[in-house]
Amino acid sequence: MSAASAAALPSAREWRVWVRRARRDHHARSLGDVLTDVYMLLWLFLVYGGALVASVHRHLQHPSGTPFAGPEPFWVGVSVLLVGSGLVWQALRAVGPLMATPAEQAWGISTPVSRRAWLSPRFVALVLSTSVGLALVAAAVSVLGLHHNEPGWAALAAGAYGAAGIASLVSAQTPGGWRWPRLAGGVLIGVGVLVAGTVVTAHYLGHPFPTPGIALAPALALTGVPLCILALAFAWRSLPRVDMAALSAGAEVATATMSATVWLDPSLLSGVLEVRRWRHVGTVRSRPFHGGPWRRTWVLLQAELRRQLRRPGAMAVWGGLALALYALTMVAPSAVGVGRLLLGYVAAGRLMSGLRTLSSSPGLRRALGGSGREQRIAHLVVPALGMVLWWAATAPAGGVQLDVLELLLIAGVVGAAFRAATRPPMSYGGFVLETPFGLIPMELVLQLARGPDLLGGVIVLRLLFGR
Amino acid sequence: MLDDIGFSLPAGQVLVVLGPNGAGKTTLLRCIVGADRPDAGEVLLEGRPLDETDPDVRAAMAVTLDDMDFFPDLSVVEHLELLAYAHGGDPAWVQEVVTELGLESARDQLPATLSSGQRRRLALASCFVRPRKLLVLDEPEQRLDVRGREWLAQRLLTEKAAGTAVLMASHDPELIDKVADARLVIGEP
Repeated sequence: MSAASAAALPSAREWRVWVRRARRDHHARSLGDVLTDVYMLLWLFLVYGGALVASVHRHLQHPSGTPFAGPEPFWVGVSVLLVGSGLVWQALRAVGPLMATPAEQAWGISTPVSRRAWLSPRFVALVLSTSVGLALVAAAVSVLGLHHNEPGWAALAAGAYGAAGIASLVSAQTPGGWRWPRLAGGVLIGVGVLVAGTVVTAHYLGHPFPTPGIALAPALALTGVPLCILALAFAWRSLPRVDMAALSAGAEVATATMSATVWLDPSLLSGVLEVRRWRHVGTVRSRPFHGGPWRRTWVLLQAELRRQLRRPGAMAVWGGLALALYALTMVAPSAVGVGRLLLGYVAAGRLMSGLRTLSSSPGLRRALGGSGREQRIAHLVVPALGMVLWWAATAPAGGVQLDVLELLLIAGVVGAAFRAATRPPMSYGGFVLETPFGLIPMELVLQLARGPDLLGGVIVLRLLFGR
Repeated sequence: MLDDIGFSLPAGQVLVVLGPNGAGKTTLLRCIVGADRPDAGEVLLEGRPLDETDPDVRAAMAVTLDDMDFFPDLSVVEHLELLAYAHGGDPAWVQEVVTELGLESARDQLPATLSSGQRRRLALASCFVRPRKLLVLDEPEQRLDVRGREWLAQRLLTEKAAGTAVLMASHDPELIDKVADARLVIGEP
């Protein structure tokens, strides 16, 4: 057995056809099953797409009814766009964007079949879906009237930058490829936060930023199109050099995302992301813990504090959410009361990783010793103090009222985040409620609602008794 | 994690990577086959840089690491036929290898119904239904029974005789004594 001659090798298309044919033999799906799936997809598309079209149409009928006024909403929109793009960029980098499942790696990618032919269909699909999706979103945002109403230019700009972004990320997947796309996500988020911070500061100082006088979308489109063409050309040339290391890196996250979606259990994804984050950190400086009056609790508390300091990302999100509340006061002042509770819930949740780990691991709880109550309290101190601090930091935006209601709201938000963090591992049995709308798996719903249920109660309290 | 490692492996020889848990044996193999990127260093195959994106390199290198996965809806024999097809190999090798590895009774089974030992045999079989010059195996003896280990030792000796270079990590002293021409110890002071 010697190395194969290239002439005898199948093309990527032939490989796919082979697999498809073999798989078809094992699936007993009738034409009716396929048509049912197609019908369901079409139905969802028509219902939600129709609702979107109707609402946009209503808006176009009443262009004077734009909900936004003044320059601040524009700048907040820019900030949201930048931060959102940065987060999407990071997510795409985490999964590739080009990736291959472990089975594809072992039985397909590892063979001498042409790498470009293998990757090109998914590259084209990725570029097209991203640019078309972004173009539609940009057109819809444009007609909402945040700035000049230019849906065509906005769609072109968003589509071009979307395609350029995907192409750049693909180029960065090659060994020795572009390095800047690896940093771009963080830069976008940073600039977005900077814009929001500057606008908020200017607003509170009484010197609001003016909206740019010129139409931005045409300028963005005219720079975006050549950039897009250039990036696509580079990416196309890079495809044969995207290696197994790059293709396998994202598969783990993509598989976890799919499992978390199918099993309705976000911890399946967050667990994988945690492991990746800490693997990236690698080593830390170990230091001894100090004893104290309640030795075990005191040591647990020190460990919890140390873990928080090793998660600068969580601290940054915690601070960013405070800034988001200030930005909300400029866009939708009437929503600040409820927004403070929602953002506070997320901020508190960011500091509860210790509790989440503890709740998901009976082995760890046994190893730590002491009562479960003692362990939970030790891990709640830092997040609770963090929440009080967050509440104080957002007082200028949310209002200062040191009364019983305020204390109840803070305790309620911490309690809701605590309930969510101490959610036991999902179980999929339990009772099902038969309703006129179909069967509802009540136990599953109750598990998913653990945390948000209490938050809902706190929001109702705020709406009923808040000023 | 790994630093200052250098070795060469001639055709027809077996080099075994040894070291305690966490020494970096799997990481070393992954870097060599291109499944991970090393921070620095170079791997040469027949005097040329080993670049996993080169189809000739993929044609020459048969690899079974610990992260092998399967298509849930393809049978044992279909997996092997697929690989033989994609490498331009001879389909007759598939039947030969299935029989040799004792997978005959499981040939039409889907991966989910296989025991861990059978899955390991299928992963190993993937290396032998295709042409190869370099065989890279990460603890191939794992989950194999006594007969399976005997088969593995015999197979590796056959590979040597056929001129294939074999690079493997292993914790099995008996297997190592039988097949190893050279040893590379890592992770020990």
